[in-house]
Amino acid sequence: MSDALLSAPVAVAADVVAAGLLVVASLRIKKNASDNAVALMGVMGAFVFAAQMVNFSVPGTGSSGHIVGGVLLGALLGPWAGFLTLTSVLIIQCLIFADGGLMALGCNVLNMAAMTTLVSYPLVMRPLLHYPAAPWKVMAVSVMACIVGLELGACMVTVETIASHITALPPNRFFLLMTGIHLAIGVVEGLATGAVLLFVQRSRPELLQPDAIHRDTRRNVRGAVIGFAMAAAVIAGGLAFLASEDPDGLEWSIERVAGTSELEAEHVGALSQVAEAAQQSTAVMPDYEGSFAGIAGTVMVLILVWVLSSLLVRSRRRQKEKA
Amino acid sequence: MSHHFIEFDDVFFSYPGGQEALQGVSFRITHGEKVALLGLNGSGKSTILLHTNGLLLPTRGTVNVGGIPVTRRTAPDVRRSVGMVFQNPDDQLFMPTVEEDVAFGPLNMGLDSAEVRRRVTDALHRVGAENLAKRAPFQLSGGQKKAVALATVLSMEPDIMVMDEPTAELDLRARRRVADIISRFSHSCLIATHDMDLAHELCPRAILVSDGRIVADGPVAEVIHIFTDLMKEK
Amino acid sequence: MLSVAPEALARLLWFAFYPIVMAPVAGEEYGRVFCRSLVALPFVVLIGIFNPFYQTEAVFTIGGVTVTRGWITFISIIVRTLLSVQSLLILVDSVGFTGLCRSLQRIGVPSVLTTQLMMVYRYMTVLLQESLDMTRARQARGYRGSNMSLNMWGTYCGQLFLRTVARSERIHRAMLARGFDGSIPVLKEDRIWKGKDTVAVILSIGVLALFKWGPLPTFFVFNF
Repeated sequence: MSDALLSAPVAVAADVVAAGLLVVASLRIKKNASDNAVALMGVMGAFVFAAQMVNFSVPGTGSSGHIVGGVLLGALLGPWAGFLTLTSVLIIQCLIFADGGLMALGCNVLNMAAMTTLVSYPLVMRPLLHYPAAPWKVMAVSVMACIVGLELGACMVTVETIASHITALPPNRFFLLMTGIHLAIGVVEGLATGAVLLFVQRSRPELLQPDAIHRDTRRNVRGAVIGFAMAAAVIAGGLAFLASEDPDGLEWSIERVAGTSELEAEHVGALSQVAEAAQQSTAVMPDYEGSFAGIAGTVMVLILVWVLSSLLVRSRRRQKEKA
Repeated sequence: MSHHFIEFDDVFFSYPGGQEALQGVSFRITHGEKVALLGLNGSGKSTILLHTNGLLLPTRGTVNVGGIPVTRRTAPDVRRSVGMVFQNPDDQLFMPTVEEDVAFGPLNMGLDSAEVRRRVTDALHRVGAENLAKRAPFQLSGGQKKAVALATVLSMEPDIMVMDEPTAELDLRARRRVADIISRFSHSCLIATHDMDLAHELCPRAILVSDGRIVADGPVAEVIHIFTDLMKEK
Repeated sequence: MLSVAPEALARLLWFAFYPIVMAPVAGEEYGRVFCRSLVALPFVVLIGIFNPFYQTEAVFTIGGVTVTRGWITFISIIVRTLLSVQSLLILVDSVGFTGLCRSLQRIGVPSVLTTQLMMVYRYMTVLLQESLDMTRARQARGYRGSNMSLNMWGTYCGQLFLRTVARSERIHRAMLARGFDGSIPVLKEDRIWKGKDTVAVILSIGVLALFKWGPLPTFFVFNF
């Protein structure tokens, strides 16, 4: 998810929910975790970066891949510590590697971290996987959990994008594209996650036992349910927003969920309505010809300012060198 | 200053896996003494060091620091008087900048920020690293990291310094610098090392550990001699 | 902030003044910031490229080439990405990552999170080095190619995990040895919020608000 595809209300709503989840996670970790959690979570965040650096070849294809690591972190650290760790990785990717953008951070945290660590791990993997487990079972459950986590994320991306009205891609196509891609990614991520869990089970099984970081299992599930409810609230909020701004928006989504195939005709109508609305709203501003002039003019002024500012930097640097 | 002492009395310790790491270790180090702790890998050197700081507690026997028996309850107090420098500075330097790392110990002791600043400046000065204060650990060379790691402990102004392999993985010049820094300490020091020259240079006394037992304790030259013989036997 | 309608490209471009002016203020060349911001392009192009195909109504023509609404929104998506990435780069470069974490902590972000961020930032390079060492060791023993099979990758990653756990135990000991009691203390900064900072914040908000809602002059008028 990227800043460019999000409208402010959607981004802010997601930021607020993500921030809320982070506060809950911080409080729970402060209260429940053993104090070596600080060191463990910190280095595990760095571990995610290192693990993402090395690619593996995807079975059956010539390509290579790396993992996001949500379900894996859930399995190794527990839901909340895993969530906080993956979130910290996303924040650093956003700030230092300019991945996604600051506004989209909330969405990314919900889509990539919350859906895997707070929903898919506790609701799919933990109930199904009891160590020691047979290798095929570890693999199967990992794949399942990753698919569920990533598909939920893909759904969130679709809803967020469509509620934002910035891409012109029709929602049903966008949805199919996202879920299709993420089904494949989910399988690969699941296999990779399973491979790591198998290794840990073989060499240090005690690390997979619930320790101080992920004790109080029952309440963690409740936490996950709360997280899920909040995510659902965002989706619902997004849909409501869609509905209020564009009456046809909600119909799209409902039909998409219901899987009706008569979408196309309906959809074209909706799109032209949006186009009309857009034309009306831009009519207040200068007409398109004028706005082209505006664009060209602004670009020229920008270039001018850029040249001036770089001259400024250079002269300042020269002064520094002299000093 | 006779309360600056560490005393091990018949200390036994086994790791949770059941491995017997220490089997009846007894020794005493007093005011201003510099003692080298020698032994092969896995002989129990590091385990002994971790006991001086209450990071590990004996399964049997007692460790006494400055008159206080080390227990789970007294460990935080003991850690104020025993400063421990770990082998890998990357593990020791966990804060984003050198300055903050050196301030970590004093801040945990609850000192006010003026005093913390004074100590940070002082500690960095003593290891000759004032100019590194604002740097991040990953920007430092191996020798600089080691010097700063020493400063993080010096800033707590401990009575006793405990060091694990202070010269490991250093080139000759960096090793020289670290040795010089340590030689200027007036603290009681317990230094675990494989570096015989360092032991010889800094420590009048040495203790030799083998298989969790103390096999020799005395003047450094003699102990090194015994150590060499022991290795030949093995 | 950048949420102007996708069609209002002219207005959107105004926002570019912000990074262009702020870059030299933060002591950087805008050109470099611009180049670095290009890394964000691929994903956005992938999503945005559909716009020209779906929004095909003509908007204006320049010298016989018809520009459709789709192309305008496509360009607008790209511009908005670049701008947001650029402002972010300038922010991080000027305060530094740890400076940012500390400011976050001061404005009330839970210390669990800020500490976590600082730790990850600190150990990122250490672990990348470790992972690189492991990769080299593998290559030295004759494995070719940059990709591992999934199984081997699992072993590699698991191994890295075990090392990570061991390292976290050592770090935790080093923390305990220096009086760690569950939270990382922060040295108070000398610098506090000055009147100058307030003026800067108000000015920035004012300028950005002007870009978004204010009446903006058109500098040049071209006639075709």
